[in-house]
Amino acid sequence: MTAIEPIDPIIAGHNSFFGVDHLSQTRGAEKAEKFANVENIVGVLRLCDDIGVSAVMMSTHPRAAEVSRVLAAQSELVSRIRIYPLVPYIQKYVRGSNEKGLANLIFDTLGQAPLGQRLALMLKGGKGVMHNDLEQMLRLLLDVELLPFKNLKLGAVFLHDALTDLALGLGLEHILTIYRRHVEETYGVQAGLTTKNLPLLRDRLEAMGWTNPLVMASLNAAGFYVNPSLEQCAETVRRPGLDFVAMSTLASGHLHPDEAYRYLGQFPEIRSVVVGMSRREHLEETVQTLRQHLPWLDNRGREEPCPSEIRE
Amino acid sequence: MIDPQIRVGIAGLGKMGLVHAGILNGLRGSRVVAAADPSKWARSALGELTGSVEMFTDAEDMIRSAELDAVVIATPVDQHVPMCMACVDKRLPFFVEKPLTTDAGQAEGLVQQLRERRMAHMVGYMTRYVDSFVKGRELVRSGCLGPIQRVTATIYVSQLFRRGKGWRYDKTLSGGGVLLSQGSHLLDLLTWYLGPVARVNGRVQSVYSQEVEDFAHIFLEFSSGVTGWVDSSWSVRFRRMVEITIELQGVDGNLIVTDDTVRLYLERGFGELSPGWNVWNAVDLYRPVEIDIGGPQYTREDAAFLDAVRMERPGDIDMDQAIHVQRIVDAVYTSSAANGAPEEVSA
Repeated sequence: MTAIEPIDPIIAGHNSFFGVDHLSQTRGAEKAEKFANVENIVGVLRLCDDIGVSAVMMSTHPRAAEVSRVLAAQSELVSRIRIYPLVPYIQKYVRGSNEKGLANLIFDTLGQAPLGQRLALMLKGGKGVMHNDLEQMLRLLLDVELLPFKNLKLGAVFLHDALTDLALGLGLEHILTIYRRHVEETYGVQAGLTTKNLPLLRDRLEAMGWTNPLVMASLNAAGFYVNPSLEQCAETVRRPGLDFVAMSTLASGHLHPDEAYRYLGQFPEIRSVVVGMSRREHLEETVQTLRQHLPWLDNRGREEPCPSEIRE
Repeated sequence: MIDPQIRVGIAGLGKMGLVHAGILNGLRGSRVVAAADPSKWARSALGELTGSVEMFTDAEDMIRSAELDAVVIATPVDQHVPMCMACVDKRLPFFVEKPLTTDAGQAEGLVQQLRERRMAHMVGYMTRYVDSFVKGRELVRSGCLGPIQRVTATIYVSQLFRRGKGWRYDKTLSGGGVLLSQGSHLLDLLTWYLGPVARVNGRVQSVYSQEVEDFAHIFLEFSSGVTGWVDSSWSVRFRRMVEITIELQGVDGNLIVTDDTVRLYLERGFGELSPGWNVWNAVDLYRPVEIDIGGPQYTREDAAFLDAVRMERPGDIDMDQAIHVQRIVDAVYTSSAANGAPEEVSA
């Protein structure tokens, strides 16, 4: 396998593009209006690129395909920007399972896969769902979710916390291993996990023999979306052997960047930080404040990636 | 002494069944030992993957024969009452998803049985565990608004813009449309805030669905005399997620509660609350949980049920409260069929 490249030290967040706002749904809807024109999204990405942030998270929102198409046409920008897909777009599954039921939704989604892969799965599916078929189906679902990004450069793929945490709760952590193998083998990038239960996830991954897992979770002084406690999460981040990406660092805009990043400055173990882009006019200042309090970030990005493996 | 883990069986492996299974298997005090679903696909997927969960095709079969301390019922609505009755027969504590039943009449026997035996049970109106709605109730109950004059409330989501597939849109299986499926959350919150509803006028409207309503407009009169209106739809645009807004006006102020924010306006100070605007956002209100799968409210809800099981008493949302919500919905349907004529909510 070819060497996997290290992830970017600063990754632009995507929530405001798609109307996601954890502090206020009303504010989220306002942002969605602002970014209703895809050109505005590309404009923000260009602004990020100008200040040396050439990485962006991207959920597989229904509009992701449109954004990807417009982005792919910007040849000089697209050669530098790396996309970090967050799969799947969970609202699609929540609303879709309300609309037609979970099983119908999964089969409809699989229906979007390329014909050859679909046929292979159907042939196996006819004999009942056996373990290999389930694995095959999970791989295919991932491929379908990643279709919108096929012409773009990926930095890493992240699994949505709803799925990571459901697998964790159900005791199905080995699904995470299937996910990781598939992403690394098929896309040649690191397979990250997003979670709202960082200490528990880390314990379970280590029990399965994972070393240096790439994990993204909320970390902020307000303790917003941090479970089961800020103290336990802080301890988990500090313990060596975790490739940690901090998100919700401003607690959805509740904290001022200076206060928020001063807090993160206590954690030299942080590998990468996701920066929200809702404050477009303040973006440069925000990134500057981040670099000031976490000066190691940009150097860390050029290091060799942590050798990560699944020991069995 | 550490309590032994509560052994849970899950009836129905749809979205909510999986969320409860994840939480109840993840919490230290309980574990999932059995699950039932008629779909071979769901059963073999989960059974194959976990290996340790005993799988059943028929949930009543699971309730009768598995070694369980508690059951979670997350099947289509028409099966809720028969499943609850099977649990009552075995004196097995149960949690049943909302709405309780397709119509109040179906549940009368169950309500009677549970009044006679004070056993552990709970109905899953989970919005009562959302931080902002908890804060809202605390403020309403504090009396800071003075006598309440009126209430207006909405629940909206962009979900259905063509004919829906699945049991939710089949009236025999679901009992109703957006009012029963989602509006019932709002009616539960309003009765939690303001007490029982005495009468309603209602109009429901179907646009995309054939058998169930996509819009519901209701005028409510509470037993306390407070009046107000509720509007509910799953076919409005620009609502990425289910959004609830409750606005109360009192003699001394206004209270606006949404899923993430609480805004209180007071004419004069009340205890520690200052005159003018008092605002709490999602970060102010956030409290961490032992394990978060799909939102802390589900963890708190399941923890409340486990408490009820341990204490051998009804949980926070008992059958009497759930049947009242059902009767309000039934009254709205009756009123709508009579062109919005006033309809008493049966006691």
